[in-house]
Amino acid sequence: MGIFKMAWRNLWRHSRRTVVTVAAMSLALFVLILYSGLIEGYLQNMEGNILDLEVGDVQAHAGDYLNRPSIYTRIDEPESLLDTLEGQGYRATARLLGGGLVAAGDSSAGASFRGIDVERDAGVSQIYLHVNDGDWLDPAEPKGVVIGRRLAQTLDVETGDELVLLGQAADGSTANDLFEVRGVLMGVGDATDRSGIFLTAEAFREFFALSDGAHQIILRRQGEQALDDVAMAVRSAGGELDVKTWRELMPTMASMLDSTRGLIQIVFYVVYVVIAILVLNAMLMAVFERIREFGVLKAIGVSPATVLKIILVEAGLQTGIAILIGVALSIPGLWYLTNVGIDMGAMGGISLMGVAFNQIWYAIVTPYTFWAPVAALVVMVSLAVSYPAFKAARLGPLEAMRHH
Amino acid sequence: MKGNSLAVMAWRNLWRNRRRTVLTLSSIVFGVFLAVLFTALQDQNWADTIDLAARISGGHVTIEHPDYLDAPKLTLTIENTGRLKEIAAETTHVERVAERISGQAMLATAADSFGAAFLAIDPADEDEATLSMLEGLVEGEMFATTRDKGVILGARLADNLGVGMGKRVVYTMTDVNGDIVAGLARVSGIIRTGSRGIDGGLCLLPIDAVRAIVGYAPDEATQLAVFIDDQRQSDVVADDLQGAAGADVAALPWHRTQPELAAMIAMKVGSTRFIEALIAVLVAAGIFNTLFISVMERMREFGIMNAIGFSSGRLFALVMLESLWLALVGLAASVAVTAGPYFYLASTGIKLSSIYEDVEGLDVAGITLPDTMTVGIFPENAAIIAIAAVLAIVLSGLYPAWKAGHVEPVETIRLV
Repeated sequence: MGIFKMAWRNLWRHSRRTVVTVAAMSLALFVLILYSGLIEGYLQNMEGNILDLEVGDVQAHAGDYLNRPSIYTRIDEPESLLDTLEGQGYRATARLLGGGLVAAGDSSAGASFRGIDVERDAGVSQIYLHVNDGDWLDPAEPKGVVIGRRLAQTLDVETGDELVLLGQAADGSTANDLFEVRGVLMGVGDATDRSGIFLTAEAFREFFALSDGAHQIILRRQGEQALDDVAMAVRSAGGELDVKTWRELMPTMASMLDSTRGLIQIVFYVVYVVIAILVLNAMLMAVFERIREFGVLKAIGVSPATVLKIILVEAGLQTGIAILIGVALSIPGLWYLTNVGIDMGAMGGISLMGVAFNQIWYAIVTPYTFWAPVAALVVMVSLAVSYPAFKAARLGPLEAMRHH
Repeated sequence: MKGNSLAVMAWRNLWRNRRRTVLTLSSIVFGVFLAVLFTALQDQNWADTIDLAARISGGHVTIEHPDYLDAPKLTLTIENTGRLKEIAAETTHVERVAERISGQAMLATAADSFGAAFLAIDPADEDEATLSMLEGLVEGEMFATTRDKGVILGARLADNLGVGMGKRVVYTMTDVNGDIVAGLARVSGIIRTGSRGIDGGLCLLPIDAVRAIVGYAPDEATQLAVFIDDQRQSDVVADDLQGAAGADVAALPWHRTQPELAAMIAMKVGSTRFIEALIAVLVAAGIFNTLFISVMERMREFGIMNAIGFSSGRLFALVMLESLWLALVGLAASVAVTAGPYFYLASTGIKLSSIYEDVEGLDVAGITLPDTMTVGIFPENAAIIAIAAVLAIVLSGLYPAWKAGHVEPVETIRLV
């Protein structure tokens, strides 16, 4: 009789035990596949928000701007640098940054103003897609501004309301002017939500009496280019500029995103330790109740290697069935989580280290979503089954047949 | 045999297959160990985080104008703060009360100007226990009076404004009529906390100086921050304060004023509970397997016992007692195994920087977590874990015990 057939029949001698073992493995696998999909979704969501909304891949500032932001610390002739970078195949845009106060009715708030080159910026940042109410900036409407979600709340304004912007212009005079709220953003990150005001570059220049230069260049790479190479390219094109990748700008966040993928592996193994103990116990029982039988097999000339194989195949079959069931069950589950998702809206918005997390938590399926939990299961079951398998293989035929 | 000898019999049965029992116990111990450490880590850290959040913003319970939460404005104030402070001080669990005005201002110097949040405080009410950023007061000192002409700046903000101690700063804000008003102060302190938001965007001002500028009455403020001895009583204290203070004001627990932090905690606690429940189900499946097999192996034995007068009920009880013993021994072993690591982590803790490289400070919803995490479990959560473990084990024994109780003596005795 073939080993597979024999192992298969052995499994069903104690059908309930096999069912419970397989069910436990399937359940653990099913849950961990969903979990892994959700974590992947969470990581890509955070990373996406950092790259698409907040920081971009690489940023360049003049001199010491990052430590001492001042309206006077500017990149000269950003246009020619942008043209060079675009010539090299990057998407890049220049932004103007400034601080001041914004007032509406009897409320006021500190604000950070961002002057946007509407057309160019759309190739770099997806913030224009994150307008919750109203519309994104339009160069034809220089008096329209788009503001952060919490700022709108603080000022108690909505689309169409009037705002007074106050700041100190580059020529030393007090800048103040009337604007209209053109749009209110969704949650994109703590800083933008609480104080961000987006203006068109033209409006910004007029308001701050700033005729040339820019404060920040944001750059996006194409495809899977290494971040450091991109930063090098900007350095060589930009001369004296202070060039930093998003990982250098947000080191804690970068390190946290990196380590989370490792940390969920720990969760897999922790859960599978319980499975391993269960399999170990079940397989030990299966071996001990058949000691006499193995003795007989040995006596009629079956090699230890074949006995070992029988036990391993029994465990392998159970794991195989569990993988089929676990993966099959997880497909509709993942379909739901990737298409419908979990609505976190009821919790009122979440942010981690200043980066907003989307209202709806979607899972993202990559090959890793499946193979990481499956591989961990196989590793743990193999470890668990090796003791009973060797135990059976090394039985002496005589003692085994006398055993009861 | 009488009841207690049934227990003796169950105990002996448990040790007939020593290896199997030990393995089953080890899965119980592992499960309880994990549940206790996970829960203890969370209980302690979230309690610490919530206390810290209270000291960074408006206390465990904030008393403010009912509309202030939706649209914070300088015109939405609470009055009679003196009477409210007395009410709060008399409420159980309350340790400290501080009156504050918070808002936004533009700070200007000869060099530059920046928008910043301001917090106007009464120096008599505040210290490190009510305002954590005061731990970072690296230069200068706290205001002497509520009418002091000083301003305490975040270190980054001071840098950006290009000012040092004793230098002049003009602050501009809107008053109660919506007019733009300005005040002049000299830098009397510098705060360096390591948090970007505080160091770069916050200043402290004396409360009566701000009252005079924005046009408030002497006992008018935007909020009363209430600090209590146990954050889990926040809801209770908020209800008590609301009842005592009347409907003109709102007494809000921290999770209403900081919904992002509450959401983050709910998400983290939820996912840990979920993994804990999964592990519990898997441990129970393993126990069910063991008990079930041990019953099936002994069907002949049960048949004979039944034939010599052991009732079905007592056979059922015997197996249930076996699983109860398993639960009790498992629990005892769990306590023995968990105690060491627990007390190590409770006293020494884990350094976060050993897990995450280059950590500047982990910010959750704007709150920077302390670098060393220690554990501490709430007693009720420890009790829940113990009860859940015993229940899971005893429930897994139900079906095997029922099976033993329904033994057919004639058929099983014939079994070889």
